[in-house]
Amino acid sequence: MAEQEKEKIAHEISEDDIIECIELNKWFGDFHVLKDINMNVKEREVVVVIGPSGSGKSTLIRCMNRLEEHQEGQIIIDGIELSNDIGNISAIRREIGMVFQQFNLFPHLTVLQNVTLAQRYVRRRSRAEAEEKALGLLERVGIPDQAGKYPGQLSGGQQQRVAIARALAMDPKIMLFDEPTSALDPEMIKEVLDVMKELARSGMTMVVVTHEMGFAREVADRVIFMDSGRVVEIGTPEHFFEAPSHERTKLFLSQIL
Amino acid sequence: MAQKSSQEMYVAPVEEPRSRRPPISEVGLIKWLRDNLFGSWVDVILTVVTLVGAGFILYGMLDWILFQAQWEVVFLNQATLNTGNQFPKSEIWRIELVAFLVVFLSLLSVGVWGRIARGFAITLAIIGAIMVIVPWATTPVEEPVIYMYTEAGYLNRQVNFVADEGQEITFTIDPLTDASDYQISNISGYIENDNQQNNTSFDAFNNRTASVVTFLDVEPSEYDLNMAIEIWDADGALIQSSDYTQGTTEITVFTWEAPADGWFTYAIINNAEASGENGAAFVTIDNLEVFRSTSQGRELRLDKYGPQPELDCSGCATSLNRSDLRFQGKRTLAQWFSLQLAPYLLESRGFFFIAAIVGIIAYFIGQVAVKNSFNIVNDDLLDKTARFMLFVSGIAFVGYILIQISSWFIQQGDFEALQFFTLVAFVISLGIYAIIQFMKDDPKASSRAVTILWMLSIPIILSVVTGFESSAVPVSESLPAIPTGDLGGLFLTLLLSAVAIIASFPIGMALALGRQSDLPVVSLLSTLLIEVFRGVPLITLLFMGRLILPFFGFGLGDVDLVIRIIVVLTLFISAYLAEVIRGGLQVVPKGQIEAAYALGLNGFSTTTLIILPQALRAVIPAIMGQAVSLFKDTSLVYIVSLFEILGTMNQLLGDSQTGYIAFPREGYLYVGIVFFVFSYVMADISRRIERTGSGAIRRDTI
Repeated sequence: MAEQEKEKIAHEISEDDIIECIELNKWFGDFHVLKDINMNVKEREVVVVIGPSGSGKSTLIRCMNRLEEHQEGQIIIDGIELSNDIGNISAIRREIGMVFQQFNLFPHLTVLQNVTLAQRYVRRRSRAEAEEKALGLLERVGIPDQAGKYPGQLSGGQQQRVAIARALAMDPKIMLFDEPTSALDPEMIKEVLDVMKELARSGMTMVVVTHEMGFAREVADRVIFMDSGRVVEIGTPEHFFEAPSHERTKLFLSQIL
Repeated sequence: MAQKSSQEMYVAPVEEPRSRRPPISEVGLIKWLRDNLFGSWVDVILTVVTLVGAGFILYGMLDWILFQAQWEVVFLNQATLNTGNQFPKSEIWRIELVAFLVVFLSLLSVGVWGRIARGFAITLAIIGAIMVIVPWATTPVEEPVIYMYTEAGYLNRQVNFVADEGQEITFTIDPLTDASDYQISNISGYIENDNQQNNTSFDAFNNRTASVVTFLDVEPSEYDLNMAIEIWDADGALIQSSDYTQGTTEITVFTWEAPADGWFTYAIINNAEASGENGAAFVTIDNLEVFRSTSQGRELRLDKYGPQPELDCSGCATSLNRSDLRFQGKRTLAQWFSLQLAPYLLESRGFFFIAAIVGIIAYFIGQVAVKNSFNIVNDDLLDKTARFMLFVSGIAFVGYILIQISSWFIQQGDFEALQFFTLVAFVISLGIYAIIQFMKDDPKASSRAVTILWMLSIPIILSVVTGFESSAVPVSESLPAIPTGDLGGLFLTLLLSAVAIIASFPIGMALALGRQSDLPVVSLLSTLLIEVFRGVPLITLLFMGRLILPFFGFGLGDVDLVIRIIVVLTLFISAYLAEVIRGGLQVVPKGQIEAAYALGLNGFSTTTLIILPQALRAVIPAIMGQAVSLFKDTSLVYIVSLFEILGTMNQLLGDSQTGYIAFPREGYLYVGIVFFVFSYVMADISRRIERTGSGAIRRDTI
């Protein structure tokens, strides 16, 4: 019976949960950033992480592709546990795309080179194949005519869309968005969100840290609310925005809405 | 519709106002002048003071350069200055060949990379035009005369000189009767000056203070010189003599025609019976050649006129190339063109024009390649050939290295021929590969091919210049070995700095990354190396390279001195470069590394593809600063008895036989100009690199 149950759990994890965080703890020096985080993301699910500044949202998703190291607990991505094993880390990073608040495009490369670089050196695609893929993706994010320019010549919104295309070019199973619109002018936020919505509709598994409540309400399958390093509440957008249970959540929502 | 200046509500018309040009006083030269030179009263004063100051300095410099300096030391010694004193003169064609190769590759690069072509072409065209027009338009002017100061009862003067058959030489004894006769403003020519470095005796003439001018107090009517000129042949036999001056102040002229080519001696003598007691005179000598270039000139002279006669007196000049004959006074502009500029241009004209033609051809080849006009896009056979050639060159290179290593261990036996053949195989196969790449339908392939050709030029240049010892090498007859210690002049300067700068680049990068490494051993070792080489003066390092390394054993003493010095220079600049590059590494934002990691790039790819390109671009000016600084530091190698251009100039000036000892100002100014020109070109290239690629947009966006 117990065997069966275990098997069932394992089965469930491998079937549904593409990201699984179990009792995750992280410290920056003595500072306890993430406290006993338990969460999961299912395949093709869009999870939005919200919370006040300093609540550990960014740290959490940065742990998911090992940009930050966790000290306790487990992170299991697509059946592989993140550990110090370099092979595991690079295998996981190949499957996870990430988009940063500050875009982090490579300023010394053109847009096209930005999108083809990792394809060629990580996925080992030929130049022609990589460029074809890159041009397709630039088309998809709506900036096909900027391929020859350098990032410095683009607007913030265009840069962020290039960053999305760059991450997508690796054919990731999961996309992580770390406050993708926070550094953008209000006029440009929409063009980035549109791309993200389109991506969500296409069935991409996404974990999004954002302050865009409209986006969360419209696109998210589930919302995770974090405060001071712990998960306060997890729920569907309807539950979350209309009938939050926890006092902290209510306070937070009352301040931003 | 007039609008009120204060309005509570306003809606702009649908049509936007049209863009207009700015007011005329806000653009162009007027604006620039006002902004930059005459912005405020302080600016006006600064501008005026600076311009006046600069004008004075410039006027003084030009006045000296054009009318007083004696540039023979530079233009008669071009071969020596470019290749060094010890380099065999018969082999100078090799250096010229190397120069043409470098010109070819440079202009090929310019053709492929474009950008600086126009400015370059204009500069070349201007130089070319000057080279053609000036010698053609210049009317020949005779050399200024020679003045020798003599006094009654003073030691007799004997001076050797060369003359061609039929050459007429005029001697004039011109008594110095009043102070103005001495003054530089009145005399112009090569004036005997026993104090070689300064103008003291002339100042004394001018000022009438020193003891040499006491004779001036002699009444002209009491002059009693009793002086005459004698001409001797090479055996010391008297050929002809002038009459003695007869106690007068009159000018005595004596003209002599050389009966044959050869050495002669002229002597200024007093009448033994009625020895003169009063007065002083300049003996002026017209139509005598004063200068001949150094070793080369001496050899030519020896060939044509035979050995110089021995003089049997102490304190007399051994030849007319006397160290104390120095040009004083002022030239006319015609004299400057005819005697200074035109001979220099004639001397270097042939070389320049061949170089220009080679360069133009190279430039157009580069242009054709980059415009894909060779039209061999997808030729399968060529592609296969190229790959095969790359393979062959790889084997040849490995073979060469193996032979080199085994020659170190086996010590005996003749490996040179084997080395030569592998090297030739390497150069030819890689050369063919590069040429095929060059003609491909891809500007980037052409650009890479040019880089390969540059790399290939290094073994070619070294082989051509140093030659081959072993007779088993087929070309050893036309390229006999030249010991590297005989290299010198500008060539050595460029060789040392080019090799050291190129080699220091990867080492500097490795040290910079090593110092940042997480592995304590690597980081400690890198730090130690950097600090040691930065903490010791270059001169000390050079001495170590020459004197101390041999004591370490491992056959280090057998390693060629030039190579040891290159290694020392390379390590020295690597240490500085490492710190510069480390500074660049710290400028790269952490987000860049995170983005690279998030894309799955590993540490090596992240470093080479993301971090280093950005770090290096950020520190291009500093890197080029190090390169320029090393280029100038190469002049320190004179302390380990290598003679680069400054050392060679020192040798020229110091050689008492050459007669250039009195012209240090001209010599050092020339060396300074050469250093400046090369440094400026390097700085200019660095500025251009900064503005390529993503650097091109940096100015617009920030």
